[in-house]
Amino acid sequence: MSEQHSDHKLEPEKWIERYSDLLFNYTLTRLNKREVAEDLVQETFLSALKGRDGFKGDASEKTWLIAILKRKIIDHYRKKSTQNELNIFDKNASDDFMAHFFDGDGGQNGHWTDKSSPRDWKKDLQPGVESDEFNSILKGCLGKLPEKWSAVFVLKNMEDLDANEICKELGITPSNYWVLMHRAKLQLRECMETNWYNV
Amino acid sequence: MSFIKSLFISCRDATYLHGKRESDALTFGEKLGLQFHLLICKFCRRFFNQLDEIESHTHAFSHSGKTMEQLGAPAKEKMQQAIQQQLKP
Repeated sequence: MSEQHSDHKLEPEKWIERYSDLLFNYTLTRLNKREVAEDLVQETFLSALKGRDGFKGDASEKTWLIAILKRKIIDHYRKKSTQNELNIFDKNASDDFMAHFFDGDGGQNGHWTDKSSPRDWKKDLQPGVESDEFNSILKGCLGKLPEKWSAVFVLKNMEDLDANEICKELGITPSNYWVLMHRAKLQLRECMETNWYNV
Repeated sequence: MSFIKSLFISCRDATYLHGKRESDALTFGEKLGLQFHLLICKFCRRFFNQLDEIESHTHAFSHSGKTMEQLGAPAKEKMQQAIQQQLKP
């Protein structure tokens, strides 16, 4: 390996001990599937090893590894987005989904149904308050969304990508993006209400 | 007439616009229709406030670097071996 010129250097033999749990949790927060998360973490370490000559020491070892992992997560979502595991643009599936939330045939009238209209939330989580329970419910609710839906939500709200970047990464049109986001929000809000706010 | 019509949007349409609003992608007509709708519909007002809250917590949570779960020892062992393998000269 070439000589390092900065304070930051790589010590691959210590990566597992130092970063494996960190990267594992980072992945689980974004995609709640243990086996997938395990694979992505392992792939991250191996890619990092192969590319270690490209490490210039501008960032810390940890930041560098996380950047590689971010790419792996986006690539995973991209693959899922091209596989049509659940075609949300199928008219019947779409009507069924919307009819749960809104009245009229297939949700066409567009007013909240009695059972789905947002309730007044009893619990209030103060900004900055850390709550492991809230976080694990959030993780669970995100994990229940079809992967394409959680992909847009996660990339927007956790990876801070904007709508254009997400469309480009996932190979979807803006109107598909808005539809996916709409569904993700409807379902996630309902799941949070059921499991956290009104227990 | 179409101007008046654009003022009256449904809850389904209003909730769809939550995503467009946070991305500053609302057209003038949508902005107007949404504002008017939120004025008269308490359920959609709740939807907007609750979603804002969920999203801000989601952001905070994802950047907290918290370790809530551990990788299993066998998985770590496997990764360590894979790395050692690659490090061999």
